[in-house]
Amino acid sequence: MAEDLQYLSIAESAGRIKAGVLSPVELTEAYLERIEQLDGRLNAYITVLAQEARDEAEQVQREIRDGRYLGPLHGIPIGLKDLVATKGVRTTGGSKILEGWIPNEDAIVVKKLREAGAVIIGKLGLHEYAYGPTGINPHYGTPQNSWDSGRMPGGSSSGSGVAVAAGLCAGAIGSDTGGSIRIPSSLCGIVGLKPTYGRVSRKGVIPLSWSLDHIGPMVRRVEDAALMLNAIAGYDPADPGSARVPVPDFTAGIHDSIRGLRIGVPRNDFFQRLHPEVAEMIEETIRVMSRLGAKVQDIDLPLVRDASFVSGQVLTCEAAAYHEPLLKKRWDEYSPGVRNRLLPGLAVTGAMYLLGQRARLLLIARARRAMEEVDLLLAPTTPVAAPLLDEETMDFDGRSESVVNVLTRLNRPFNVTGLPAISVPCGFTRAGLPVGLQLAGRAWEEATVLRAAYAYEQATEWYAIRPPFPIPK
Amino acid sequence: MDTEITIDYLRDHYAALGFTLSDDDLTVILPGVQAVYDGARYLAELLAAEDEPATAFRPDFTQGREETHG
Repeated sequence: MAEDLQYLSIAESAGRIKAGVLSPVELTEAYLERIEQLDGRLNAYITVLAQEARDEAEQVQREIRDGRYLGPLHGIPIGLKDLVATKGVRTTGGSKILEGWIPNEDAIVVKKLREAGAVIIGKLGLHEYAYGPTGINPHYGTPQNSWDSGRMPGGSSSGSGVAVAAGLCAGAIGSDTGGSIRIPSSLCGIVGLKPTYGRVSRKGVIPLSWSLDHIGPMVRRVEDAALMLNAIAGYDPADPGSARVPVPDFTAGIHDSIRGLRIGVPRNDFFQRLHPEVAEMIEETIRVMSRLGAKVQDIDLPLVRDASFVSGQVLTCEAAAYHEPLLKKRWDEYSPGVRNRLLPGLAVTGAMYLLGQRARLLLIARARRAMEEVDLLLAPTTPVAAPLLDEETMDFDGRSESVVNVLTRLNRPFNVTGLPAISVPCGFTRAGLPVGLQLAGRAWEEATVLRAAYAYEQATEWYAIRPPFPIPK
Repeated sequence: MDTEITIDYLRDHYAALGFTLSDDDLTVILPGVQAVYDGARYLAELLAAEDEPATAFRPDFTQGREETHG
């Protein structure tokens, strides 16, 4: 019974809680029990808030019993990437430097989750300061990929990916600067949504790169992403990147047909240097979308290479600007890996940074023109399934490429352009590793992205396959 | 941007910023710095080829706002 509860979708749990056949206390205890059983090995959590979660669950249970039901997140246990500030609870950013930092205020996204009645169950592991796509963390240990412990979980929201995949929380918050929600979602076999830039407030979230950072949900089912986005979206004057735009109900129309939806396949750009098994699976997703009635067409949209160069200036420089004072004072407390990625940013001149931002507008215009012809873009989330933990480079067509670049290259275009993009499981390699399908939409059209992802998910049901336990080595 | 990045150049650059880095450290970060410079050169050529209007850049980082998206 407990096993089933932990793998219920948020929508299913919410339905039972609303109907009074499942209590938030029972659900929270089920997740805490599973954390107790598995997290010693999985290491998804940096901090488990067991007593706090129990107290919150008792409180929301009383609220619901008293007739004050707040909606689908009421009583649902949610984990937070540990760069999201939590009042009175340490927030490490995955770093040694912040190992004792206890914020005196919740981040806006946490406030919104609490207002929706969510139970905060713990703080999840991540790449140090979110600066890396592998999820490897020398300070708190690397969360273990639930499908194969010898493989990377993906990052930087590694703990979020592992916890959701392994049923250690109902959903999680991640952040995404160059793919950090979508990469672990792809490698861990879950759903991750990076909303449009400006859709979700970053106030109270440790920044990596102010003009590229996004906050979003990581869940097991597409509808759950819509439910979480409903709770966390909205204008926030305290975040300079926040946009004053209408917030729709992201679940409205999610079950509608995708017949007639125009899906563009940027084959000449996003389909280069893919592992053959990934390429095969993505071709099958195209066939599924066509069978569902979508009008799938190839389009010419060169973004991957240019976005990589833009990100090379912008992300590198912004991250270095944030970290420079700390690097000077606490050099030895950074891991060499992150330090060596930060230092080149201090060599970027002002003119080079502005080149990046100017070129970025060209890419935004390029994407806008392409998306006048189509409603969505379809591509792999990552060109490969989870790499081995000690893998630093991979070979494609006889050329060596760093794993960092391999994992981020198909994700960066949507950070640079700010467009919403989701990763949805689309199958497994012969070695049993999950692969992600990426769907991106026009700005502010997350609802269309979610509708297409939901239709695909329902047609394929990859979500029904759970990670094996004990985890294969 | 056309600067050839050398260990000596990096040593001076980081020293001016207040960092005393060993030659081993400088050797490790040199490829990253070179990549950033190469990227800048590429973007400069891209912008020149695209005939980007000078007014296109607005320094208020409003990429997320409605008027600059989609």
